[in-house]
This record gives sequence, structure tokens and C-alpha cells, in this order.
Amino acid sequence: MSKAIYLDFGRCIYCRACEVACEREHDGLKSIFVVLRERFAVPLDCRHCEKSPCLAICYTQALTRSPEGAVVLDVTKCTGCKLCVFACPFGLISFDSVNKVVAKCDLCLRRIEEGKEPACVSTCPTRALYYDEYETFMERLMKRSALILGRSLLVRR
Amino acid sequence: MIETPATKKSLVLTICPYCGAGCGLYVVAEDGKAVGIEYMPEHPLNEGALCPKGNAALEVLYHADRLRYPMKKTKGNWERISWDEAIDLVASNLAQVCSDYGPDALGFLSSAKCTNEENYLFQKLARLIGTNNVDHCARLCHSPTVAILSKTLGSGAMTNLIPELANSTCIFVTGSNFAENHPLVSRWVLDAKERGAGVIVADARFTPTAWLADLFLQIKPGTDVALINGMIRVILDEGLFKRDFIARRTTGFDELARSLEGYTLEEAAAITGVPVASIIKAARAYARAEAGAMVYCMGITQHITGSDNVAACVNLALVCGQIGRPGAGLFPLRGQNNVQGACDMGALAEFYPGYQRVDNEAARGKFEEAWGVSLSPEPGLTVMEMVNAAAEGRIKAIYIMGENPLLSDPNAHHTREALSKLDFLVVQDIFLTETAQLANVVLPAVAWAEKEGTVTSTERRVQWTEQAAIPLEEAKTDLWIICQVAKRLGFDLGDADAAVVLTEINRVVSIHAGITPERVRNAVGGLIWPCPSPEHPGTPILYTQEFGTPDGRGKFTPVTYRPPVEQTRADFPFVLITGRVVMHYNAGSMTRRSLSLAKRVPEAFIEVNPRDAERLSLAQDEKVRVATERGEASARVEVTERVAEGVVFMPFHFPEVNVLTIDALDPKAKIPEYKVAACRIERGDD
Repeated sequence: MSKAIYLDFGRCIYCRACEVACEREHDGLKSIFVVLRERFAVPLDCRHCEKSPCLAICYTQALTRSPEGAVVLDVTKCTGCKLCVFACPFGLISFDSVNKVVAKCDLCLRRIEEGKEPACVSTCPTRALYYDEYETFMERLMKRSALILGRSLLVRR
Repeated sequence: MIETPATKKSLVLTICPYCGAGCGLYVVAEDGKAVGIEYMPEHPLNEGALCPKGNAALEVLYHADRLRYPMKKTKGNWERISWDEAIDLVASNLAQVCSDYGPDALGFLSSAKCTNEENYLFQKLARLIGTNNVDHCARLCHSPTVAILSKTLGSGAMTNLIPELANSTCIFVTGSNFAENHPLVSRWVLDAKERGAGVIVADARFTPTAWLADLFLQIKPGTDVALINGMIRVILDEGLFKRDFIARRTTGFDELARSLEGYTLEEAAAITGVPVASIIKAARAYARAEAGAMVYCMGITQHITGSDNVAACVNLALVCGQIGRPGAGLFPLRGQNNVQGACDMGALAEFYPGYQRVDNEAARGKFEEAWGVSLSPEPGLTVMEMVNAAAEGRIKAIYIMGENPLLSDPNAHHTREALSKLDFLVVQDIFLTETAQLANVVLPAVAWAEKEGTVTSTERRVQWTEQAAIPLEEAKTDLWIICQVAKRLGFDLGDADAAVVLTEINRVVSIHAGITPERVRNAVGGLIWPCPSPEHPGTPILYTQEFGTPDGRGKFTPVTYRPPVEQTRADFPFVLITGRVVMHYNAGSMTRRSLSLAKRVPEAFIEVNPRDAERLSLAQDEKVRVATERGEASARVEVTERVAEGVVFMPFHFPEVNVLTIDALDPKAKIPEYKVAACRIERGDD
């Protein structure tokens, strides 16, 4: 299975390095948004959905599936109708009011081709964002929970 | 430098110019211009990661506000002048004051953002001229750390490396909001948590750092000694102190125990506002931990009791033997990218390079020999003392390099008055900062990526940062400027070659003796001092066998709680805490000019508890006037549970905020009490 960006929610400290990095890599337009609640923050990034609503609704096929599995935008085909903006259940597609087209996460495919990780993943100070195979990520989570459960049983209070 | 032939771009290794974490990043250089940044996964501290400021680091490089040529103030207007004229003006004015009033009528403010080599030469220049009035902003943040840790442990620095926090089993964080101000520290603390470590956070605010806490102690501002003494009380009562460690490796335990005899947990709880049960829990967890770490920062140091607060932290660490082992240590998080280095290089009124006191005959003799002059034996004026002396006319001229005291010092109206009284003020900076606007002469310095040299992070990690870009127009390296001014004054400081200056530093600073240009340029992650010889690998953990004190033992220092200077009263009913947020850096001259950062936090704000907001009928985002005895500032209201009732918080990255703070100083370290002032809030339309 191809790699995807996984979120380790408990590690987000609301620093927004991912937002700043994404903007820098994409001409000032970010596609990751960190939402602050009173006692925690959640980084919301494009899930490159398997059954992608944005891809489905685009009537010019400006949105297509790349070989890596990412949902990518061809701006030359975008008419700026913004239907995909409404379709995304997470609200992660933005409208570029300068160029009158939409902007969305491209999984930093250019960086991936160079053997790097998406900018948001590379930059995250706390590793709240991982770019990995599903199995590797789940293994990591399970190992951690097992350790914490085990230790809480063994610890003398 | 790494070249990629296909694209003709090179990756230049630099160290982030912002905080003291010392993250490595590559600047992508093309034809002498910095065109991008790239992450550096091989760096041992940040492993490629960067906080938002690091990501935005290039935004200041080619900013329109960058100073491009020297200027002098003529009839209130700025006039462009040549370097020749500029250096002449600076040298002649400093020489004039020196001859009219003596060298101690001069003040030198060095820069915690400049390199070790630059700091070394700057303090050398001041001392060659005949004064020890050389200091820098460390005075305003970790001077208690330098003063107290040197005396009690041996070195005013962090004892272990940051990634080692991942090996701690209990991390006690007091007065540090590292999640915002040293984000990379969070990485390793979270790793520790993943391995089952407990995290205790003591702070007056529920910060993003507190999100990480298993136990949060919300203390009343300025009550740290009361809390820590309470924790030590528990540890003594329950026999959790490390008898063997205390006997073998410390002095003064009996005095400490005696000093706490009448002290009860009820008293601690009453003073701090922290329940007795929480104090007990925190004490037990830290004392019993296999490897306990204590992280502290401005919440501990920026008080009139800052020195006492640091001493209390040392007492707690020593009583539990939580020092000198992997994962067990004291972690004062230094602020600036090179504040550790500026201190190491002696840009301090009382210390020569390497922390040798100026009033110590042997130390002075050594430098007199090395530099070929006789040196003044009197410790000089510190930052705040210089400002006060300027106000009183005892200091007539100040040479400021890379500092913005009008925004960084407390009681800004007083600072402005003081600096305006000077006969001559020269400011060397990359922007025309608020302080530079008061100057007679302004010298354009290069920005971080336009020069090379070593910088020392909070980990004692000395790293070489390479030059990635050609200096902007007529901007020069601080190193060159200092050498030119020195030459015009008749002192030969060399040819402004950083590697050559480092070689001199190797000769006179024993902890840097082995950090030679050849070694440090080729070491990813640099070298960790003490590094006393060219074969020495560096010292990640301090005090593994003995402390750096004359008798090799750590010292206990009994301390008693004293309240902050300014108490709330009817007309100033709120406790005002000032501090930082992740998106900005200190006085904000760089971050307020970085669009990515400034747009996210564009203006001063004041955190107000929801119940206080309701009582005062304050709405979220409303503009209010905040006033203290010293002045007023306007700010946007942020209604949040982060602060307790009766307490408010403002970030000092904006010009108005230090108008409000008090310049009361800790008597030992001379640090201002930024963390406590009494204020009131007035609605904008009143």
C-alpha cells in the first residue's frame, strides 16, 4: 500500500510550522490547517481520500489521481467553480483569489520525487505528522500503547 | 556546503538565527543569493524539523527595511554616509567621550545574535579601551542562571543535551513554555512520555506546554520558591532525599534542612495556590524518578527573586540526586541563538571570556598577558545599570550591536529618556529598529546567512554556521565593523577572519580549547563544551563525577520566599505577566517583518480570564487600554482559560508592551521583574 500522511494528534503543539512550510513550498498558499481548541490542537491535512468527493465532483477532470495515490490538481483545467471547496468534508481546499483557481495539497510530489518527505512532515518539530506505510504507523501506535499499558500496571505509585 | 551539479544550487549549512535550540538547516544558495531553505535530517537536535520561525528565516534576508548603507542623523533626518566617514564618526566620538570623561563613561551592548568571534572581539575592544561596561541581553533573561549555577554547580549552562530528555522518566517543567519558545524540546519530551515518563508542569498559565503535563501546578505568579521549598519539605519528611549522593557530592545540606524546619505544606499551598496533595505528588514523582529532569526558563529567572528561584531549583535537583546522569539534569533553556556563546565569550560586565571574573587577579593577569594591555579590575555596569547611568549622565556614549533595548528593556519610557540623554549613540543592526531610530550613527550589519562563524546553542553545542549569501549592498559583517572601529581607535584586532579569531579563542578560553576551526567546521552537530583539547570529543553530560566548583561539590543555598515587588491594588487590580508566543521572537524586529509570522499574530493582545472579561464587559477581540504606573499600551482582548482570574498575559514582541513592565531588579543578577506587574484594563471607548 502506498504511503500517506498520518497524524499523531497528541503530539501537536499548535506551532503551525507545517502551515508556514506549506506556504513557502506553494507560493504562499497553504493546504494544511491547524485548528486550536482550548487544550489541544489538531492539524488538518488533505487525506487524499480513496473515494474522493472533490475528485468526483470536478466536472473538468482538473482533479485526478496520481500514480502515488495523491489527489492532484491541474490548475490549467480549473474553472474556479469552487464545487470541490464545498465537497471536501474537512474544508481543506482553498480558493486562490489572485489566480482565480483553487489550491489543494499536492502531497509535495515534487519533494517525494527527490526522495524527501512532504514539507509539513519534514518540518514538524514533534513528529505529529508522519509520512509512512499504514502498517508501520499502526505498529508504532500499538507498541506505544502496549508500553504505556504495561508500565501503568507495573509502576509503583 | 553541498553542491548539486544538476541544478547549480548549493546547500549551505547554517544554524537557525532565532532561538537557542540551535537547529540546523540548509540555505539553498544560487549565484550568491539565498533562494530557499532545505531541511537537515542529519542534525542531532532537530533531525531536520523546524518551528515556524525557522521556516520563515529567509523572510528577513531581503526585506525592504534592511539597512543598506551607513547613515548619520543630521537635524533629525537620516543622511547616507560612506563607511569611512561612519567609522571615523564612531571612533572619534567614542575617543572624545573617553578623553573627556574617562573610559567608564562608555557603554557597550553586545549581541546575543552575533557569533562567538564577534562577541569575543566586541568585549575585547571595550576592555582594551579601558572599561568593563560591556554587557548584553543575557542580563535580562538568564543572568540568575549564570550567577547561581556557576556558584553552586560550576557552570552557568544546561547540564545535559536536549534529546536526552527522551531518556528521562520524570520531567519537571517550571516556568518554561518550551512548546512555544523552544518547540524542538517538545519533540524529546513527547518521546519520553511515549516511554512512560511523567511530565509535571508548574506555570501561572495553562500554556501549550501544560497540554503535555500529567500533573499541572497552576502557581500564583512569583511564588516559585514557596513551591519548590514545599516539594523539598515533602522529600525531607518522607525520606526521599538521596543520602549517599548528598554525603559524597554536596555541601550545605544541614543548613538547607534547618532553613526549612518551620515550613509547612499548608503555608506553601497558601502562598502558591497549589493544593497540598499536588505538591506532594509532584515531589514524590520527581524524587523517586530513575532519571529526573528539571527544565526551567523565564518563569523562574525574570523576577526580583530570580537568583533565589534558580537556587531553589538547584537545591531540589541536588536533594534528589537528579543530576550528572543520562536523563537526569538541570535544563535552563537559553533564549537567543548565541546567548550562551555571548556569555561564554565574556560579553558580560563581570566576566572575561570563559567565566573568569574581572576582579580576580589571576584571571586578569592572564588576559593582560594574552592581550598585551593592563585591564580595569572593576566589574562594569550591567544592561539596566547602563540605562540608569545614561539617565543620570554618568554614561555619555553607548555602542550597541544587534540589540533593541528600547523594546527589550522594561519601563520603556525610562529607556527612551535615558538613551536620548546620551552625547553619542551608535547602533549596528540589520534594521532601523526602534532603538536605532534614536541613534546618531547607524551601521548596516549583515544578516545571519551572510556571514560565517560559530554560535553556541543552549546545549553548549558550538556549531559553525556557513555563509550562504553575499552581503546586501554595503552591509558588512559585525566582525569587520568591530575591527575597523578598533583600528581607528588604535587597536589591532586582526583582519576580521572568523577562523583566525576562533583560533585566538582556543588559546584563551579553556572550555573552547579543542573547538578548532578545522574540527568544528566538519562536525555536523558541532562540538559540546567543555572541550579542553583537540582530541577531546566534547562533553554532553556535565558533573558525572564531580561538580565544577572549587571543592568539586554542589552547593545547597537556603532560600526563603519573598513576594514580587509590585502588588495589585484597587487602581491596578490585575497581575500582568509578559512573555512570548511561538510566532514571534523577542522584540520582534525580525518576526514582525516576516509576513508568514506577522500575519498570524499581527498585534499585541492581552489574555483575560472569561470571568474577568465578563465582570469588565470585555468582548473577544475588543481593543482595550492596559495601564501600569509606568505607562499605557493598547491591545486586543483574548478571552481564554489559559490565565487564572486576576491574572493577565501580554506578549512583549510589540513596541507598546515593555512600556508597562517594571525595572525593579534582582539584587544579585540584576535581572528585571518582567513577570509581575500590576495593571488595569480600560475599555477603548472610555
